Amino acid sequence: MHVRRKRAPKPAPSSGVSSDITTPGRDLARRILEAVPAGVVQVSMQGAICFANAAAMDFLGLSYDELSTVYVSDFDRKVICDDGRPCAAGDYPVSRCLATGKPQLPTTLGVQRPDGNTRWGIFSAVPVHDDDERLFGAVVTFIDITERRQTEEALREGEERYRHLVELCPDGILVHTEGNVLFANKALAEILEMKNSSELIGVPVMDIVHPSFRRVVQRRIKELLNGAPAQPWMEQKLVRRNGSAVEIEAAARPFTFKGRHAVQVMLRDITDRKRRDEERDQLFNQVESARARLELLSRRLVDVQEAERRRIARELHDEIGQELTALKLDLDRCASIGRGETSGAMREAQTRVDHLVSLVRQMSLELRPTMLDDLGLVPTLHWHFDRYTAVSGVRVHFKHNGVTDRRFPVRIETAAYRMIQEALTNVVRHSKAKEVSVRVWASDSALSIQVEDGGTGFDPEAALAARISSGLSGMRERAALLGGHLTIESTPGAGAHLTAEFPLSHNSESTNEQNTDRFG
Amino acid sequence: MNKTRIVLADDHQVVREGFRALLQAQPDFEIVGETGDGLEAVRLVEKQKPHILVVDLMMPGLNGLEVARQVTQRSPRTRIVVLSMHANEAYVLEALKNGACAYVLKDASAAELVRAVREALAGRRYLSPPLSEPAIDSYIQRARTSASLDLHDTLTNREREVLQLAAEGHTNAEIATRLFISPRTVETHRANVMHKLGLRSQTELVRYALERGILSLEPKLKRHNG
Repeated sequence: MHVRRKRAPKPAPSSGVSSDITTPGRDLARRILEAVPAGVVQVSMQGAICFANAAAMDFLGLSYDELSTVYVSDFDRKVICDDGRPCAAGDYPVSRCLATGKPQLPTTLGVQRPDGNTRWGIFSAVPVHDDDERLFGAVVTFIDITERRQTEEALREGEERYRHLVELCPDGILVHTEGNVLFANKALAEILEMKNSSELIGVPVMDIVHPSFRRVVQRRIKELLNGAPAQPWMEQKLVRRNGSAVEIEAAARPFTFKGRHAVQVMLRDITDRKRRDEERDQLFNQVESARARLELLSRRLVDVQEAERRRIARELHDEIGQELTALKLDLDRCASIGRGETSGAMREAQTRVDHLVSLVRQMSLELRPTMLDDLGLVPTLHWHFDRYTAVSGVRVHFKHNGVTDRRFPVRIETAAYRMIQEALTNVVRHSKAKEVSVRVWASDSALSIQVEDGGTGFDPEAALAARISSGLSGMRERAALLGGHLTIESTPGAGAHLTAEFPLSHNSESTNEQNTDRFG
Repeated sequence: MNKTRIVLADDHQVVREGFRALLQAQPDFEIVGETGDGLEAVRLVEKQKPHILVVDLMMPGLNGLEVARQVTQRSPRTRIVVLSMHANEAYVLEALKNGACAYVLKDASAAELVRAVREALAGRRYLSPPLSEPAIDSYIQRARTSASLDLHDTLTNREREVLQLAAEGHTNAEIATRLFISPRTVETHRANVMHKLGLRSQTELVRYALERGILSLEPKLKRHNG
């Protein structure tokens, strides 16, 4: 601060060690004045500063020498009011005191120091009279409140930031005490479709909780007030003024507000999330039911395919085969009564019919061995292995346990037969093995089959993943459709073990033996 | 001279007529009944008590094998000739088990059926070529030997390794480290082993291993894995 030079020389101000105070009492008073943390300044009627204690000099940032040349009016434009506006020199408590001769109530003022900093103080001024009761000057006392003010400001700023945060927070925030809303932010007002959050202040908190959740919310609040550290997120519903419900989730903690037990609640609108969850569940259900339909379809496909094969096989065998047999019988009779050339032609026809009969039988068996229906798995496998070895040159070592003279559900016998058939075909195609072991065993609860070859082997996971062999995944599916499973153990170069297990439920399916329609 | 009384059962009419013509051509044969239904065939035989029943393997109502079985019980003196499309030992064996005396392939020559009837009448067995008694015997033999699966054989190599290490008391984690596979996989193999062998506890597993000689009670010398 640039203190203006004085218009007229003034008497040197008194100081803490002023020589004209000689009495012991005065000296003591001076020393006390120096020691108090408050600033004390004596001002003459003209506004000249005659005395200032150390605290005052420190506050104003002026040395003793500098002070001695300063008038109150020199602080013009260097003083600001509590609210930050400039304070005119005439409005200083000291000026008023000098003008009125009356003590002035404490006023908060800020003073700009020469170093540019502002110090805040609470200033009071009392008039000083001489022995004749004439106004002689004034004494200004002030307390430095700069620090407190800074703290307050920081607090206010912090509060401002907090308020900002709370207002910007996308989640609803609510503080309530004794059952009534103390504070609510904008987000909560939006959730409740209110224009302004102030509409919520003072509203009974239960009014915004959906009736179906009031009990549980009340319990949660009670727990908090009884010392629970927090209430976790919980899905609940609020109710708007128009009566409509809104899905939210809320978490709460105890909170002290102006010395009172309060509860701070965070609320989140979960309408969208609920909707997405619902959509997801719906999609999931759709996928699930599609999968179930697909599985049913697969099973039906397997059944239908097998039924169709059986039908065609039987048609070939029963209808065409029988016709051929009849034709053969006719030819036999003709041959026995024919002569010469006729007889020769007859024999040729007979040979041709024989060939046809065996062709038809082969076709019928390829489609579905009737033996599987008539005699069951083991005889059919024996028969199949004979043919397989004859065609492929691969020897089959067949061992079984617990399956002789025992029949299983049609689907399981069919699946077991088809899987072994498929596995043996794969052996010829891929493994280069010359021998293969087939094992079939059954317990009370399951029928198992195993095909082991000592061939080239493969990486089962890779084979399944690459879908190189639709046969493998087909087998796996066949097993799965019957509630069973297929395991493949193979390492390249060390052959393969293919094992399938079919659970046998005791009450469900008809066995082949009961399946009499095959003779129809 | 008494004629040979025959009941003929075949569901295919054309075929049945063919056979009837064939059989009636024999002066000493007499067809005393014919039907296309299995149940009816049994009733006819019971009523007529014929010398011979010629029955198709495939019949509606009751299949030929079952007809044969019931006829054997209800009319033990009736000899049964089975007609079949199947040149297969399993069928033959099944027919013989059910009391058939002769097994004639439908595509055999007409003379064969007559021969089969005469053989049956004489109390001898007749099988259409290429079927033969030795073939049936070898089939029976083969069926018998195949019915001897040792469940131990169903274990895969991995499962055998796991079985041995498990019997030796190693934990799944230890086995996993030894075999360079994951403990979960070991768990699966172990469960498979127990399941296949019908073992229910570690004690049973150890007992099995001892009985099998997989585990020895002798003090262990320095033994390597596997």
